Amino acid sequence: MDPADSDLIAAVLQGDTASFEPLICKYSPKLFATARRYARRESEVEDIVQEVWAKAFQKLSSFRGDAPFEHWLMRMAVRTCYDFLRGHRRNRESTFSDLSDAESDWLDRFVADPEHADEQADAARSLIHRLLAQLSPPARLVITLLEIEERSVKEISEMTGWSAALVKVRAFRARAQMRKRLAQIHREKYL
Amino acid sequence: MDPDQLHSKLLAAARKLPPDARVPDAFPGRVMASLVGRRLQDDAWSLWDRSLWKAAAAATALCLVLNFWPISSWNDPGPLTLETTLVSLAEQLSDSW
Repeated sequence: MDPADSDLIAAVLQGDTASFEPLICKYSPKLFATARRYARRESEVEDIVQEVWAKAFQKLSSFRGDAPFEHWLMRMAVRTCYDFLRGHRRNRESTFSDLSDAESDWLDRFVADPEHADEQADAARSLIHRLLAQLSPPARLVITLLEIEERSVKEISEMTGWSAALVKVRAFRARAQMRKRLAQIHREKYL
Repeated sequence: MDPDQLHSKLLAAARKLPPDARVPDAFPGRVMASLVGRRLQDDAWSLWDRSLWKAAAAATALCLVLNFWPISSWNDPGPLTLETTLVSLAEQLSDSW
């Protein structure tokens, strides 16, 4: 573990709460990046990250130091994001008929020439966000960690607390959900 | 349209641009302010440790009370009660038999 982190943690555990602030400054960017994968509104993103820090502070004495502090913190962040998804389940059966013009144009270009469809386009990214928002919380979490962040099953298992077998089952179901939603796009837009 | 190809394209798009890691202004200060008054939580072993010591202390106190309390009543036969009267009568009757 980073010696600076271990010194700061030791100081906080001795009662020097002010030593927690450098940890917040150091790791908040990564936490915000993680939270922004699961929440769109900035107020929700900030609430998630604030909750992660509150939990990290209260449970700091349970941090054993056998893995980097960042790993421990990211596990907490993933679980907090998962709780957020479960607590903010919206109607996931919305249709794709309300696609923006940019998204619709991008899909048309993709259908015409899939090989050259621009992966950098904002429209592509907003489409994937729309698609992910329609998945169940475990499906969205596993697709984000496995397919987008390209983490291993073992890492996902450690971060979520799910067994490796459960991660694989959820990944299988998540991909099936994605395929179903994509087929729905095709039906709604082109048939 | 091939849904699997669309799936791959969309995921590739998501991978190419990582999410914004910007931290709002004064966020660390707001977190620190929210931590004022919060206690560090003891870990599970410390909690067990404290609880077991308390239980041991209570059990010791009870043992001492139960062991030494009858000593104080040895010299004092105690008040006459219906039970003690009947028992002493029964003993006298059994002696006479």
